Amino acid sequence: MQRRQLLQFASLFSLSLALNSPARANTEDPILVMVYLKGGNDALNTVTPIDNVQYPAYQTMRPNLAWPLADLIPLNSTLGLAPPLEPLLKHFDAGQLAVLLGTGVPRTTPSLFAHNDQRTVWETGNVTSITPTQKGWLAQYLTNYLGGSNNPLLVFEGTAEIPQLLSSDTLYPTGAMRTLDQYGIDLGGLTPEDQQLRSTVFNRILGYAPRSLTLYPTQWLRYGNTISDSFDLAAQTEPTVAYPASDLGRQLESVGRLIQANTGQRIFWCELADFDTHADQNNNHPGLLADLAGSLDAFWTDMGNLGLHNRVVVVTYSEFGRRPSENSALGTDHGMAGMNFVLGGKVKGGVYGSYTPLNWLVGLRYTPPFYDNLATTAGMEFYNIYATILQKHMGLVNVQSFFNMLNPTKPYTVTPLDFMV
Amino acid sequence: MSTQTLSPKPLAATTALTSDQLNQHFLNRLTFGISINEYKAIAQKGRDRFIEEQLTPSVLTDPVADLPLDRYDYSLQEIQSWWIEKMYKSERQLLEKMTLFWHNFFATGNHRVKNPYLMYVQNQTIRTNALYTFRNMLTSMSIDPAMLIWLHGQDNNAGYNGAGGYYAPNENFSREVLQRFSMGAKSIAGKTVYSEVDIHEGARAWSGWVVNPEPPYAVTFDPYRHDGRDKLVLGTLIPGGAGQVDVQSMINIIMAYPSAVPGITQCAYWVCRRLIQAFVTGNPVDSYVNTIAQSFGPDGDIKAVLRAIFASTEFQITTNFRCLTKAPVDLYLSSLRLLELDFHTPDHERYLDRLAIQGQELFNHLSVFGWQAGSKWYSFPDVIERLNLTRDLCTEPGYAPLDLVAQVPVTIPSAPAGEVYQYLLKLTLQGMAPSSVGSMLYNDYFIAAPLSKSTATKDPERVRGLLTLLTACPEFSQY
Repeated sequence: MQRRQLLQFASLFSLSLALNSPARANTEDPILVMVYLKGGNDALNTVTPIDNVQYPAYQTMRPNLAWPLADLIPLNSTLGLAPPLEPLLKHFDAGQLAVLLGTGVPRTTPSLFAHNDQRTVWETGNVTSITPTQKGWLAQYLTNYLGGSNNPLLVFEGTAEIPQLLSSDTLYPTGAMRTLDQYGIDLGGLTPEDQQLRSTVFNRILGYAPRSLTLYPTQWLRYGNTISDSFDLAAQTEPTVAYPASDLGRQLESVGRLIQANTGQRIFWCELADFDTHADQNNNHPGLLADLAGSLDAFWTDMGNLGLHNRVVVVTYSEFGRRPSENSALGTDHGMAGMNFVLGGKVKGGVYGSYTPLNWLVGLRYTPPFYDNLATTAGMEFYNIYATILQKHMGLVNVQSFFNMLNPTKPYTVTPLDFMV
Repeated sequence: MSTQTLSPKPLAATTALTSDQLNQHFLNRLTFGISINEYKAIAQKGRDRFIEEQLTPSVLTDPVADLPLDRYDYSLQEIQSWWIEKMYKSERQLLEKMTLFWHNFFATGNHRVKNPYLMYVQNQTIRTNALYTFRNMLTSMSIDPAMLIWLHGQDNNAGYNGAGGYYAPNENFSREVLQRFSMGAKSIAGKTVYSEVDIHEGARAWSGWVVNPEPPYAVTFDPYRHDGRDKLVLGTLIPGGAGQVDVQSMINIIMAYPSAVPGITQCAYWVCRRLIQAFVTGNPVDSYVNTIAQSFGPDGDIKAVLRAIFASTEFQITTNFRCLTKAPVDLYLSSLRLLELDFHTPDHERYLDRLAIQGQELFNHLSVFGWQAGSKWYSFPDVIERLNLTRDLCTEPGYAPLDLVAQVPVTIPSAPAGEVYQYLLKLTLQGMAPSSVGSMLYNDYFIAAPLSKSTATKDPERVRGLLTLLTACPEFSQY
């Protein structure tokens, strides 16, 4: 009933509806799933040095927070996965998981270590003008290369918050997971006659868009209809695996079902929060990693069962890593270099990049202020990770010109990396 | 974070505001929405007296009693309901608006504090200081138990480690004080104000405060958890050995730190800018902020700043008329106040859940960044959720819309529909129906057959429908 009402409103704009049918999905289009780890994931307790030079330094800097050596799951002779990430091991062994270490934003970035500023850099690709109003790098990719404003089915985000990554002057619709059953408007009214009167006047209110007012743009209504249709199609699918009933698990299950229903979304964004582990880290961080690994494992197995591995890439990102030395609250403060996981059929599995050797940093930890942190380097620039994915997965040939557009005042040179075929 | 919605543009009136519209404007900005009683009252007493009363809350009454402080087992929902009712019913509207402003400024969330009692205590501390001085506010917040838990101040042990060194301080509170609570991450000239070194030195100065885990959760200073050595913060030395006085020294240093503009401190600029964004416009120009910041004074006189804002031309010009967007709590409260709904409807708590779904849960900020603002409340699903919220309030079972109609003064009792419509239009849309709708709201809905000019105001369902449509207009979501 509620959705019917919306359909009725939307039929005012039926011209646009004809353009935006879910049947437009191209079954070969590559798909990108971004998973944001909000708060600054502690890279060193995600993938940990295990060799006999670095591990003792790690243990010295983290007397209370260090994973026991015997519990870490070796990826190679020098690095091990944190125990809660065990579900990811089989994908690493299958050569589909790239582990990128020492990743981050350029050191010239002002307000280094401030959550919102560093997240803005990661989400806009702009290293000179760091403001909340800056357009997102994916939004600009959508607008310029995928016809973003014309296709209401491109983006799906898993939470209520719309990330800057997807923000743009161009209005394009997104579907937020919490709204699966919230696309209807019912104006009340006890009799059919009264309901009809209310609808007639309300349609006029909605059609109203004076120059000074841009609330309730009519696009929302026609988009609402197509988003609603694609959710209906997704609701008819059945995941091929059981997803964890966790925060991220539920988001990725929705993503999996939309992909299975082939409704045409190309960009997905999910978020797992609470990585800002200033205190009591060992009672929080392992659970977050377990959610991450369990949810990614379910999603990736689901995609494999559907034969979709070559179409999909999943990338995790976080605003920064955390300091090598623990603090007195059994937590870690904001740090420099982070790490990313990239999971995909076209990924060349393995470990790429490296941490600043901890045995160099250990002697600096009592040298105020925090030289162990400042001496840490982020050797792998975030934009080269994006350039790799855009060129080798999404099929963008001239990545340099795209990044020049993101940074008109001070362009930087991007170099696609070799973690993808 | 940013959003893909179009940026909000002011709902400017095309001609200068009338005195009647200015009354509505002041009610919209200084209260949680226009109620028919206050609309009548401001016309009687005048705007100047209205402002002075709101700035002097002791002369006004608040029917909602404080919660007892000798019980410690409050639920989050209990304190949320208590505050919503207070924001709805208290005559001290500006005081409650300012309490909400500071709650967002010092954004704290029960999901980490895990103690609604302490969230309530923080709320009362904020209310006490809401119209007083920023110096007192910042001092109180520095040693507020909920804040000490929220930003790990109580975990900040930087004392001597017994082995020739000192424990590493927890920097979280120190960082947020500078970034969010007093200065902002950037200065007026775009140059970074403070460095990582200042944050670290500040963390050492703030160290040593602990919250007793047992009720009444006393806050004490533990010298053994404090780093008693010298600190150098923002270029000023805090000599070692001062213990808990370091908090005062930190606040002195922060509040005296100059901005790029002579005579204006960075703190005055930051706080005044936030206040202007809450009361005047989302994008103030620096020159206006600096003018208002002259009133801040060395201690941060909040009342003087507000008085300067309300008296400024910018507050009253047409371009800033209805340029702010109601957050979900504002939309909810302004609907309650318009409709004069009985707050104790059997299940009003479900509305609290719906505010949370829209991203605004009282006492439970997701992060220290506070709630979003402006058009960011208008993502696609939110628009529909907002429409459904006001619709539900207008059609609340047991609501008697004719009680509101009865308070509208009419001169033609035999055919009152026209006057009632115009009056409700003022209370909701400041007298201006959307141009696309024009007289349709009146002709094609309110007095449409089988009702008429003489009968429409006697039909509760038709009045309900009119209120539903009026509150569904986008202008009602602006203030």
